[in-house]
Amino acid sequence: MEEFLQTQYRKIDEIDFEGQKKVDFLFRTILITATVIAAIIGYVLQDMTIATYIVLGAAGIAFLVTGFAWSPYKSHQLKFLDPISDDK
Amino acid sequence: MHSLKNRFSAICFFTLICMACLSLFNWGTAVIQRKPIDADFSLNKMSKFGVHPYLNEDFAQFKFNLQSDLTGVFDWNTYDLFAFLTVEYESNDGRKTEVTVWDDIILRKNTKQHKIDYKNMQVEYLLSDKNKELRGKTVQVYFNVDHMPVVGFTQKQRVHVGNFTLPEEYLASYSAKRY
Repeated sequence: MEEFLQTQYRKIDEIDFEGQKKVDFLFRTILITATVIAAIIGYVLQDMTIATYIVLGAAGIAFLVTGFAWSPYKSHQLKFLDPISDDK
Repeated sequence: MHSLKNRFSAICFFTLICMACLSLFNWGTAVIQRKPIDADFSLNKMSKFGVHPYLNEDFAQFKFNLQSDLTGVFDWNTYDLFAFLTVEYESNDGRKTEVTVWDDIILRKNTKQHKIDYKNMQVEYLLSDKNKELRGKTVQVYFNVDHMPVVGFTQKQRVHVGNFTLPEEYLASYSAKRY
């Protein structure tokens, strides 16, 4: 059972190097865009509460999009060499 | 970034940095744009002026009119406002004395409170002087507003709204029973 849970967890946990690059760019873009939008909306409406909720909501979306190991982040898996057998 | 926990932590801390930038922007714009306050004050009636029977010091109790529109003072960095009326005078030895006679907390949510319109309002706290030097004194009245901010420091605004002269003689003697 424990082994099964571990393999399931690894499916949403591990991503490859290209995936890490994508994730890093994506969540920073989402959060910076949301902050700029929040600043504009908050300034126009003169309400800090709305601005805060926009940034926090964007953080939630960023986690949903980039937190889990979705398939686009696992498309460049490293190919390991075949094991060399010792017996010749 | 290789694991779920790592990505969660990175997103949380980057959100904090974004919130800090947003707060800084909020504070900066609010400080630059803060509007000056304005108020109309007039003394209505000097109801009591004499020596306080318990405290044994000069005291004055009066009624006043106060109008002020604080709608424009509320911005996105204002949480609440603390408005108070102070009376300032110089004692005979040259020291400045400031006495708060009325105060109120103006809540952001309660928009009816934003326009102050008091007529024939009784002071909340007595104007008192322990040196008994109030007779014939001209006092300056200031309307003060303290901003309770969402981010940043408390900001104080103050405007001179008028002055009045206290009577040369006590209006009546107050015994302990009457007061």
